[in-house]
Amino acid sequence: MLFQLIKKQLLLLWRNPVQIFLLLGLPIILILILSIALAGFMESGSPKLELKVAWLEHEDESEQIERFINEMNALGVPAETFGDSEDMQIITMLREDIFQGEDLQEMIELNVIHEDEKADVLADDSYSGLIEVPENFTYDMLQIISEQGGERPEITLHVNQEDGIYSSVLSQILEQFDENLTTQTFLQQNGLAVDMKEMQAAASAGEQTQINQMEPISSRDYYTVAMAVFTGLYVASTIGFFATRERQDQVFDRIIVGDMSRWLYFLSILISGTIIAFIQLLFLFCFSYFVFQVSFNDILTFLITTISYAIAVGGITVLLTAISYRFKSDAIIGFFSGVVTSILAFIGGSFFPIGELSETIAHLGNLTPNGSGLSAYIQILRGSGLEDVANYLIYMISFGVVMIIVAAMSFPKRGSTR
Amino acid sequence: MLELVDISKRFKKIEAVKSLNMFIEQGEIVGLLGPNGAGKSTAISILSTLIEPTQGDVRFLKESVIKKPAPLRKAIGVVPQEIALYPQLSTEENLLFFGRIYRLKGSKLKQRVNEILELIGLTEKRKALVDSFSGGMKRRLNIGVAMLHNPQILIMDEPTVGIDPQSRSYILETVKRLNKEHQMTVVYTSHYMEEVDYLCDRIYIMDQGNLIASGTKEEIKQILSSENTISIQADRWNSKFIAQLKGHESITKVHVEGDEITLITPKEVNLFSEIISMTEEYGIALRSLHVKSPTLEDVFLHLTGRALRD
Repeated sequence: MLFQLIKKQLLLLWRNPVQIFLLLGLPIILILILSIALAGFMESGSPKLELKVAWLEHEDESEQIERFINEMNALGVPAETFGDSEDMQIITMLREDIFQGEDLQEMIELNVIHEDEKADVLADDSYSGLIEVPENFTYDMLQIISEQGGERPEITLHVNQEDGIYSSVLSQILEQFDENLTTQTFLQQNGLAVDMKEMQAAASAGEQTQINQMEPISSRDYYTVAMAVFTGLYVASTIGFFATRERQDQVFDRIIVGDMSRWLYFLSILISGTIIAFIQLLFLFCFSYFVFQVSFNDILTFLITTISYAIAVGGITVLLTAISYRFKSDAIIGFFSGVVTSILAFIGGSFFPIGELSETIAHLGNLTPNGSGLSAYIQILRGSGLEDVANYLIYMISFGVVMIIVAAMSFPKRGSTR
Repeated sequence: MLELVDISKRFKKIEAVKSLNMFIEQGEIVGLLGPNGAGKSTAISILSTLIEPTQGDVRFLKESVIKKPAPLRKAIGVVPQEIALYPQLSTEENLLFFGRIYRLKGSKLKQRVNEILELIGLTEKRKALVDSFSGGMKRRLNIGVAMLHNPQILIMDEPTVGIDPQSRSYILETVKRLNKEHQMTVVYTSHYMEEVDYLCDRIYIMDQGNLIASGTKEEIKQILSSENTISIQADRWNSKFIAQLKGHESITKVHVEGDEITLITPKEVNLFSEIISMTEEYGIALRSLHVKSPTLEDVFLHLTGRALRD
């Protein structure tokens, strides 16, 4: 009997193209629009920098190295102590391995200029900075490293003050380089082996990492989940409307006169809401898997999360039905679908990651069933397991149970639906 | 077989049914007549076990069914006032669904579905969605669903509301046939007195929650045995003429409907010549003037001073 009631609900939904569109078509359209339109917003954690930098070397470095090696040889110190000649090309390393290296080449356009161009470059606002390597820089630096004395040379950085953030980036790169040179000097002077190239490479290599080693998520990941949990709420109003129609058309009376327990009917609404929400979520996630490659590595946790959210939706479904039966009006369902759903979606972070605004808002969002579901799915997408999302799952199931209890208390007694 | 004993039902401040007593014997068609708001649907809902009365008892085969409605529910088929069907499902899907609600299964269910389709004349439309049906076809299916489990008693709450005359005639004939051929007991509510007059063996007339008359058609019409029902027809009326009729000491009731005025007068009084004089006085072109046999409508008019459809 219960099966017949549930089968009938599924058939009614299947024969209702408007509701099918609302539950399956609309979220797909929203996922497509929002994930594309808000991709920049979601993935703007590290804004793309584009710097134009001029490079001015006052003296060829290879001549300075040759001079240093000759002097060392004259002093009876083997030049190999400081590595081969390539290791001594400090400036070439800075220019080619760092500024024009793999990590920064997309960010920095480096133009090598001659001294006569310097004035023009300094006047050109399109340049974020000019790096000026003084005469004898490499020779003087090698002298310092080999403890031959002398004054430590410095690279001059001319920055365009209007490009604040870009100038800062350039300064930091040079400061890092300088620190590495100091370290190298110290290690060299204490007889410790050092590979200058490796050190510089390690220092300059940028990498986008997330806290706790979580995998980053894309806008498509986010909006697939956000729209799935958002439109999942519409399952409750859809089934609630069907149930209210049954009351208005006296179909419910006919079922009761058929000597069916009203609690069986109540149960059928709960199970129908849960099953339809589950199917809807699976459909949307399957769509996103095939179209956007949005995938959950931990399938079991994903399924348990989906069932938990479906139970929460089932609870809302049966509560809306019970209230509409008690007050003999479908106004509550209209209010839920027109107003409450949007508020829950907003607070729960379905429109944008509102929780990033503050911890309080994030906590408030997680108190909504959709917000809790969203957080659980996002965590799974970032590589978390069942234990990590257990709190969300317990909350969603508890929310569903509370809804069911309130619904059972509200569901009218015999004859009160007329 | 089925009894309502001193039933009252109160909805907050409104007393919808007041001390109603009814009995229904096996194989008879009982009519419940009254205008909208008379309390017919409330009485039917109590009879169908859908609502509990505020006071009184409902007895089926001498057993109270208020707290244990199952035996009565198995014995009744209810045709609600609304089209209690799923428009998005086909005729057959509706019948199969409700058949299962009535615990019918397998070949027995299929057989009953075929029989019902035959009975209501929708065999050719078994695969059609109910949404595509005319009002009359929906009403027929609405009745068919109530008969799936072959009930002993068919309770029909205004089953012909909003349908065309052909469909109404089809439904009335079907009810008559069910009663004659299958000895099915029928409780039929309507505010169309001609339906009740045509179908029913016994009649209960309700108004504003009260039972105002009951008995066979003949017994009820006997209420007017000491009265004459005079019908006057003319092209148009004069308000002064109507006022004079209403003020006449020998006329107990005056009801104007379109081109006809119905008067209730004592049998011993002959007003024909006086009425003719009055029409001449007010320049009314009289078309007909005659004493007619009393109808249930006339009885209701006599008892309440209002027409059934007022």
